[in-house]
Amino acid sequence: MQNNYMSQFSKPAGRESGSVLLVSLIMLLLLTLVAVGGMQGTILQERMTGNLRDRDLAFEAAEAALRDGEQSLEPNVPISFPNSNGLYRISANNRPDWPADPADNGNGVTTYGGTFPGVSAQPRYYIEQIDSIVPPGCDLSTYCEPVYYRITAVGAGGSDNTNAVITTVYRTK
Amino acid sequence: MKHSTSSSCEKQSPVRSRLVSFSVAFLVGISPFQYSSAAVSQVPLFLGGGGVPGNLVLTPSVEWPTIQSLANLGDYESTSKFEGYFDPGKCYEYSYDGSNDPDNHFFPSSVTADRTCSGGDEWSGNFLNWAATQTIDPFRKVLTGGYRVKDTPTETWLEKARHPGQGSLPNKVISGLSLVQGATPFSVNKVTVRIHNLEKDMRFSLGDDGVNSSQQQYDPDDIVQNTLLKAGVPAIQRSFRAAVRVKVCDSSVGLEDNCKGYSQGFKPEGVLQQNSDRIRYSVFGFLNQNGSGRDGGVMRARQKYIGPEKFAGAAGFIDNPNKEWDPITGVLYTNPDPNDASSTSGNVTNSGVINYLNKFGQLNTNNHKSQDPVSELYYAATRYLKNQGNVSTYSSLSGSDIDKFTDGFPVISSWDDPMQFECQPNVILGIGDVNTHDDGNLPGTSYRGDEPTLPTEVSSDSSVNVTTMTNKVGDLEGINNLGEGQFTGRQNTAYIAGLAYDNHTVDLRPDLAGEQTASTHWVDVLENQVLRGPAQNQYYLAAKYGGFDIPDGFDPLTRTAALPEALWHTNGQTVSLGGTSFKRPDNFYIAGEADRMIESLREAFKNISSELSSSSSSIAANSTSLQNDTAVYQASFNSARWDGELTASALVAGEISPTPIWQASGILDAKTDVEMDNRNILTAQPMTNTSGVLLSTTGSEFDWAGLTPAQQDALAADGSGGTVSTAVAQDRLEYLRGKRVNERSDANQILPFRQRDSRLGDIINSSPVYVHQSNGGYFRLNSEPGYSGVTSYADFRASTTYQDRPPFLLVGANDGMLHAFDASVATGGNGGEELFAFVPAGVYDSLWELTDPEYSHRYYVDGTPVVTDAWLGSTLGWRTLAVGTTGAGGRSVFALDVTDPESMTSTDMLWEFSHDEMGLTMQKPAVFALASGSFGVAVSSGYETSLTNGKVWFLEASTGQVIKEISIPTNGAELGSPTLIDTNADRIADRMYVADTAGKLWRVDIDDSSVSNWEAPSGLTSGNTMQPLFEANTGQAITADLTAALNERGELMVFFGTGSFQDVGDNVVGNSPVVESFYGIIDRGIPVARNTLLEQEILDQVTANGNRLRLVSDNLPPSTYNGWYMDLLWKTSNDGVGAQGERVVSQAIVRSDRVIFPTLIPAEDPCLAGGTSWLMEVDLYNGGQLDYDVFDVNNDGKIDSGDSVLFDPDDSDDEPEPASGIDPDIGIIQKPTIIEDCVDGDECKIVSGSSGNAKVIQEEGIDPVGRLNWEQLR
Repeated sequence: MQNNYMSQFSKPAGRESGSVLLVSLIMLLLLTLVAVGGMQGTILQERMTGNLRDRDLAFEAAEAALRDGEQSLEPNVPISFPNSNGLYRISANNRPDWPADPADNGNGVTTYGGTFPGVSAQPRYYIEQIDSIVPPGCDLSTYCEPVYYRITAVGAGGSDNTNAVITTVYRTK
Repeated sequence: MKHSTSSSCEKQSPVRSRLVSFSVAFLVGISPFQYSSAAVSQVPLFLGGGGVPGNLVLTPSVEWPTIQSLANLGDYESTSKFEGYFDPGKCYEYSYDGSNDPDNHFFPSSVTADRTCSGGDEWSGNFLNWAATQTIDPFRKVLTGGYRVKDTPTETWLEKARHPGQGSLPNKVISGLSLVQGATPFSVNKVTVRIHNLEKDMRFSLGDDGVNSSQQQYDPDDIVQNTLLKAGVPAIQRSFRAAVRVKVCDSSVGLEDNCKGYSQGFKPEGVLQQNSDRIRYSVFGFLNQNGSGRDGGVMRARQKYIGPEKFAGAAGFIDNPNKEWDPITGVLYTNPDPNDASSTSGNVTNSGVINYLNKFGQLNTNNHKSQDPVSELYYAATRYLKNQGNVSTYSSLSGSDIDKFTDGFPVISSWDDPMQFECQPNVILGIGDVNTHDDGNLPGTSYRGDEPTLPTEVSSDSSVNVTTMTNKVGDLEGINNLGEGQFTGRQNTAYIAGLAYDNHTVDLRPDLAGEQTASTHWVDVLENQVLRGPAQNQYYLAAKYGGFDIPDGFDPLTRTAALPEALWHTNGQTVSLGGTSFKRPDNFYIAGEADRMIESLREAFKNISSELSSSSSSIAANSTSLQNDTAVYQASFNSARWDGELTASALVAGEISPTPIWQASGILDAKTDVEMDNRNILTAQPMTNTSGVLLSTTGSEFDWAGLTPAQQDALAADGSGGTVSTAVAQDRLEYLRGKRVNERSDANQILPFRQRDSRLGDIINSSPVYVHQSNGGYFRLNSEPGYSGVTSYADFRASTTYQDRPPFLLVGANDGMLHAFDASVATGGNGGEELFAFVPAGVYDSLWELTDPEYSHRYYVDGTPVVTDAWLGSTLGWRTLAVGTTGAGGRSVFALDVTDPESMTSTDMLWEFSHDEMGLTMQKPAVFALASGSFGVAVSSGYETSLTNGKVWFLEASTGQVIKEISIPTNGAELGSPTLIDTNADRIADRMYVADTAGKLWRVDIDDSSVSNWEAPSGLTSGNTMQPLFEANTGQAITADLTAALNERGELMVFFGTGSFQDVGDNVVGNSPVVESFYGIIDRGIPVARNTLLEQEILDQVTANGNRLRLVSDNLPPSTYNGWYMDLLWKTSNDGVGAQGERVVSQAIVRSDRVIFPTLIPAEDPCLAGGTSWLMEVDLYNGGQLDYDVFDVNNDGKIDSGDSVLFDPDDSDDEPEPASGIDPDIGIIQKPTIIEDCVDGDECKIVSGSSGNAKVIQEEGIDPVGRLNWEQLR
């Protein structure tokens, strides 16, 4: 089991040969979508502009919260991850049900520390400690503090209806 | 069956015999060959047997005023203490045997606290010192104990210096009835004493009688005379003559401070003898020839050990054929250097350093020397250190006055080289008056007064120009043309100052490796009680410019700025006399009065001795990454008197700040004896034996009431089966607690207990452990089976006690204690204060030895403690646990509850454990949560055992009870530290590794909740017998701690090097030493053979940018891969130097994709601090070269491809490559301490070496951190 996590999160040394094709295909798909979208005409354009800006806002807010969460892991990670107050073990049951329910706070979340302008609600995040992975190159007679953390953030746009949820895996050392 | 023959040859050649026995056992397999344990050394092996001695060249510039001036001035008062050959605190009577009879002498009759004597015939020693001491007497007393005119195994008499009548000397007059009554046997108003022109005698008269009238011999047994005298009958018009000869070290009355015990009595000794094991001496003096015609000085004793033993490099101390006293009786030998005596013209039967100093001018009735060319005497000493040979005209002897010139002592014209080792400190110590004569006949001279012809040896000496160097001194001091013309009169010069400056700042010996210099110390005798100011005092200048602290990059020829005061004046003293007053240079001393002379010479020796210190150190830090308050803690010791030090220093810009924030020894030593009562020192009561298990669970205070009768008896041991009194045992305890009232000092050598340079004892193999709020990671323990009752670890870490406790350091010292010091570094904090100390029960039998003046070093608490948070059951709950060992000082392991280090009590002593089968506990214990449901401590049977099967005991962390004993079939080899590891991040130990001195690596699986199922995995079991996971090459012992880690493929690897550096003889590398290796073994639960491992080689060693560097191969792993090894040698097949005895004895560090390990190569050259080390950094997975640079090879403060090294410049195809090893060049290093983000994102490895230095090595940090991926979910 551990090794699966390992390959998922550690540096994918020497295994990137197939990704070029994959990335190329995705890029092609995106370009196609843009092109097709451009052909839809200008009728919807004004309506969409407002919507898009709201989504951008939600995304930016979520990203801000994400950075907040990453910074909270440096220089030292919190003492414990008690499955509450925005600090969870990986895949804990009571964590917020994002992205399905952006309003859900599970057993607690952390609200963005600053003030993000123009949004209907300040973005929130929670951090999961991926504690089942033993970091390679760590002396196993000591406490090999987990180095991998998943941070998930939700941001709202100008209205509650627009939400963005983003997640990263962050390595502390 | 044991092969006793092997154990009998074990002592001579442990490695070899192991090698033989190993192969026998391996091949036969049915006749188990017993390894027997080697003797563990009780002194650090890197000291090479005692260290390099210093060279002290004594240059007494003695003409008659220095010998025969009055030593004690002013009026006599009993409230003032006057120094001399008499004890100011004793009363003396006179024994008369006849006119001029050599048996006439004073002898002590009683002691006096107020320096007054009331007995019938008693004289006050204080008074006799005041009346009859000449200036050379206290000089002799402090250096040698004094001139012994009678020296038998049972008796010693000292005799004052001769006064042949040169110059004038006032009589000494004491007046006032009560003062006279207290000082002499007489009841008169006045006593007059004369010593002028009376050779070794004095003459006194009473009342107004003339001191020269009607001369009589003083005979207290002449009843008529004595009755009249004591009654003070006036107008008897007589004077009385007495020999100033005094019996000393008479234990029936009381010993003086400087008496040393020998087989049949005590002998007075001085600083020369006290330092004779670490300083070699030579003496230069004048020939006794007056006038300006005789240049220079001559060698009277060549550089030599004067004590019973001399240091002979790796062989340690051996018998000294030129010893100057009988080591049994303490009686001085008259002619210890007979060859030098017999090769001198005339009648010479005395020789040696001590004899010359004691007896010059004493063996005949000649006048003392007049006219002292001091710069030329100093120049002769300089030539000696430069190995330039004697100047023939200095020493030429002819004519009828040869015996007067030689004064009865050797004049050595055939010189040897005084420098034995390139790292030897050299010091010149002189004494003299400033009114010198005719001393300008020197190389580069510009003023020669009425000198004779410049000797050819001098004119051809181009190593120094005295005019240039003396002018340089003048420039720095603000004196124009100091090197030109007459200095202060008598055709003298200040060239001694220029020579001293040159000796101190310019390499004396271009012919030797490194740089050799000599510092100068000088005592100004203040002739006629006049102190000359700096501009008229050549000794001030010589001591200042020959003794300042030389800053980096100092160039004596271009320097123009005055020396900052901090470089030459750190003593804070101002000397003043008459109208003259100035700050005292650290190496300048004045001796206008006897007590100042004694104090000054003692201080000079103390300063000289501290220049010779040899020390080592280990390092800790208060953070693993750089913070504002990051501090480095350095422990060290000095082998001179085995004192220890622990300092805290800031880490600034990648450098250790040279000025420590605090020094623990200084803080402890600043306290009074009374404050020692406040030290919180705990101990454990004796362990009791239950079926072989020795256990104590009772703590107590380390004071007399807290000790059990058995412990009290142990303190009363006398080393030969008997006991000392209870009172002495109690005094010993107080001494161990730090009280110094019964401790010897430089001034007092007769107190009962050993002199300590600090209350803090030597810290050698115990590395300080920093304890504050380190995260043990036990958050989810309560969800593991067997730990359901465990309370929240997070709550414990959030508790007030935990959060508010100060950071502290735990370190073992060989003063018998584990010490805890406050580690704070904030200003105004408590940093450096001792919080508590602990004396393990296991060291009691040898505690008394620490008090013994004849102490020979051994270890006490020398292990590095292990500190971790631990769940100790529902009663104690979460605690911070410290588990310590005695190291080679004993056979026990102990556990303390250090949760609240500021309020430790005896109940915090949890337990101390030993076992009938336990050896020396130099191995580290392991503390871990066990699958059986409690925290445990694993400890192995260790070293110096006689076990066939090594043992590992798992102990209950809270009680010390044995949970499980595991027997390992080591076949007589000895086990190192057990390593417990957690393979699946649940914080419960899954596996134990332990290795032995036969090179076998063992694995036991301990992840079962039932301890009965703890055993080797099936793949490592044959029948019912455990099989090793790995066997190293024959002869390779594993003593280093093991490290286990996952590689990047998730495979478990074990890393370790082989070799031993702990047994007697391990520091000697033979002609064909065992080739040791470093291994990285993949543990798949089945045996791994060495010949299936991937080999990496050391391909090259070069020096680039001043750094010695290593190139390592980068061989690729084969498809079936079991791990790697690297033989620790640069093979001759790679154009290398072959096996040098390189080995690994400290634990490797794993760090992401790297393995970091220091190696050790013992060296017999005592200048190399016991050896050298390489700091190796290789790839964790395959042991090869890393594909990026880690060291700052080009010293540019950055680590980049510019740090790659062109290892083979002759090969045009060769490209620069990353180095895989660096020599930190500070002797033998220990495991580095790592600080991340230390400089510009690079990390710092702080290493400490046996040279006593620490070094910061800037290195590439590990993998970049941060976001690994990113995904938008909505």
